[in-house]
Amino acid sequence: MLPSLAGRIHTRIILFFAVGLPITFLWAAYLGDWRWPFPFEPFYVLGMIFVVGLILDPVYIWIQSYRWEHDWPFAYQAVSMIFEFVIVLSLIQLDVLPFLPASLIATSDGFWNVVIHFSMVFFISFLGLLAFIQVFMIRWRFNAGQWGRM
Amino acid sequence: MIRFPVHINVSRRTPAGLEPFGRIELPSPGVYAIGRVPNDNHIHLDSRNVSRHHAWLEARVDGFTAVNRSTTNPALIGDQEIDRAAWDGATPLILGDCLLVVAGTEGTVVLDPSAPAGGPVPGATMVLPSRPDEPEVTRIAAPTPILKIDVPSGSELAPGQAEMAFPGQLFAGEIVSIQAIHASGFYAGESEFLTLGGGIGSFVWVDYLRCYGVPAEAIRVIGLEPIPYANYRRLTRNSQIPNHERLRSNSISAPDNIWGFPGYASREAFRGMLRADFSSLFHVLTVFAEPILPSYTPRIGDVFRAMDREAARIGWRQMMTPGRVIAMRKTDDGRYAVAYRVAEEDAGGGPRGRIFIARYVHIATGYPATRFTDDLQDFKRQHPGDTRVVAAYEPHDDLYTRLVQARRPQLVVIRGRGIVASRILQRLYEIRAENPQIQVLHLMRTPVPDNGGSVWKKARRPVFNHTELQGFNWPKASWGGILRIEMERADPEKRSRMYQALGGTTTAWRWDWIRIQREGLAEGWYQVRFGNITQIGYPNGTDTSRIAMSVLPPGAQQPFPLVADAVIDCTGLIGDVNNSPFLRDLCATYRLQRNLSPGTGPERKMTGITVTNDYEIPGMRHGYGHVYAAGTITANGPYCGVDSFLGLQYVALRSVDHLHTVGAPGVSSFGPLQSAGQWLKWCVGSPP
Repeated sequence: MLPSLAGRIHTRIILFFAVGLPITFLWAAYLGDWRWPFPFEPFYVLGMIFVVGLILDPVYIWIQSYRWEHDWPFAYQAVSMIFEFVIVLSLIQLDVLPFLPASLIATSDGFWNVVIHFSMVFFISFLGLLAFIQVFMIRWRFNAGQWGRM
Repeated sequence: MIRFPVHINVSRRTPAGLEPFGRIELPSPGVYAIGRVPNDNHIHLDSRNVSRHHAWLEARVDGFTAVNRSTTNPALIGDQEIDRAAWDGATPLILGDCLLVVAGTEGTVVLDPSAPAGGPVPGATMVLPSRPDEPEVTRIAAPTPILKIDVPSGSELAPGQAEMAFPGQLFAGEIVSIQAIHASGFYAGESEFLTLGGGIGSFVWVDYLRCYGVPAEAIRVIGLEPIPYANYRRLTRNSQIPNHERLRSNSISAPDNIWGFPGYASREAFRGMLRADFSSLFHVLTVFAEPILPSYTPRIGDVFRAMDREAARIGWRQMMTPGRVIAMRKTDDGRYAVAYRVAEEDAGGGPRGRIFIARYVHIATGYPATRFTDDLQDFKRQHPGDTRVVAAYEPHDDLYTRLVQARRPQLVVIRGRGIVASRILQRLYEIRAENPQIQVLHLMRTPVPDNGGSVWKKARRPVFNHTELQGFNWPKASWGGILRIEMERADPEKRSRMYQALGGTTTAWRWDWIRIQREGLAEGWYQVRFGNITQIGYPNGTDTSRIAMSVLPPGAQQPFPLVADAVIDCTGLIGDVNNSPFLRDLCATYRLQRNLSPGTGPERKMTGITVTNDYEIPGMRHGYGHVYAAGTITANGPYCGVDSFLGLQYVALRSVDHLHTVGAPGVSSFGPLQSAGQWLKWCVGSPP
């Protein structure tokens, strides 16, 4: 991947709406036994990862500027996505997030629910980066991950 | 003055070197046809790679002119490919594997000062050693009288137009009238879209057009060979990359797939899994593990097979017209006329000159010529039969055979430190298993300390063994990341600085290459020296058993002598727009702007043709017509990697997107849904 800062933000937004939200919706429905209203916690977790990612994006770009190729290998991408999740998990554990009490992950079931949710979003987002974004947006790979025409 | 009869020595390149093939007597001035077919030719060369009707040799009292008649096989004078050019008789005229040199007229040959650059060098007159004991001269039929040639001789035309016998006066001005084309009898048809070159650049552009919705009937391709990768395959084979070897290219740089997915890595893994060969999954893993492992690169044979498949899908053969492009002009109805010549076989007895008309033209003629370094060129001109001094891009397989068979120690000099040098070193390493007496001396111009790689802003390029390491020709982000955007927006001054920092010779980081160099340095059979070759010849000028060089180390006043058994020059291809008569004429006629090479001062040379960010040539805009360019002929423009697979795709994407903007018929906007739909068609292999 060869993202610019704008490209990172654009790609993050695309993946949030195209992958994160639908999966979270299904996951929440599953947790809520397919009965409305679904639990809102998965949406908060997803939203928090999104916000933490946006805050970290300039840091990634700063790291990238020291790389001669100015690229962002897929291994880095995987590590950074997991890193963002770990930060959110830690913030929940520290009980500093509104609406997301530490009790959410206090039980084993609660913890694994969050991890499974993230894993699904992670794997499908990653596939999206490798494949599906390019199938729909042929300019994405040339335009530093930004949407639209060049 | 040339005195007739003139004797011409013909020799042939064989793996063992140059061997005499015959001697021909030209009885009087006239036009002699040269080719493989006995009956239609005055000079009959029954040899491989000689076309049925290959060339005309116009012999006049005041000099020779050679004209290439073949579209498939080039005619060369020295190492310059020619369409029509003056021949001094001393520089070999090369047709296929045959070399023609005038004998017996030494001193009487008039050196033509207007011959193309890189042509004759005064004093370099070379005559093959004819065997005096058997002067078997083939006396040939009387030539066609000169008066009957329908083409004006070169000296009567303005410089730059000398090669343009056809279309001649028709294309004399900047604008040609459609009526005149129809009246000329050369008119061969018209289409909306036309690409010139027929190589991978043309192929990728056509692939985009087809996926964007343009039917095959609206597209025409004019190029030398029907297989789009024919020339590329030739160059890679010569530089020792056979089909099973891997290319220096990315997984997603797939000229047969405009989306870049699935890339070669996924396809290779998928095919492997079908065969239950799970080791190929490793290639997909290398894509993930790039910072730790060297970059994934595809097998060249897979690339060709994939292009064959895509060519069949988009109807490439149907769009392809084999021919040699000669000139292009704007027409008086806002389109473009392209003059080209077809092979005698394709002409069906009619005129070989044709004119095709189109509204949107794409020029992707590729490297106009392979140019060698000056000293190498001099050596080749003086000793055309000596195959121990070669450029890596020439065929030179027999050199390895001879190195293996040699009984005494063999010293091979590798010159240059690019990717080709790495590959050649690997090949020499492999044949060392058969002949451990082979020694390698790697000659580089200047040392590069381990922390002395090129710097751009905060980043520095890594170095191993005085060679800068980089995955591909440019940093990755110059293909589609921050550096691409920065380069596109840069002013000329900054662009020059960027090219200087990001460019330069590099090689890929491959474990096996690093191991070979480490092993070689430790065992002593591989050594590195610094300096510039100032001269190549024979020891004492006459001892042809070895090759002698003078090498000037950096900063030194005195060169040191170096004697070796073979020299392999890996300094690469030098593209010069002026070496192509077609591009030279186009630039001169429309006063097209050219890019400057990076650097400062008088060293800066004119390089690629200046294009817009959409890869349109602004000086060719005309009515509703647009002309685009791609490939190395646009070097030093808004994009670094123009001569890579991915670069060709980027450039095609920009120009085809621009065609949509200007309202070219059939070119869609290619939004997400259409893109996905076309991708599905690609997957199942149905036409776009």
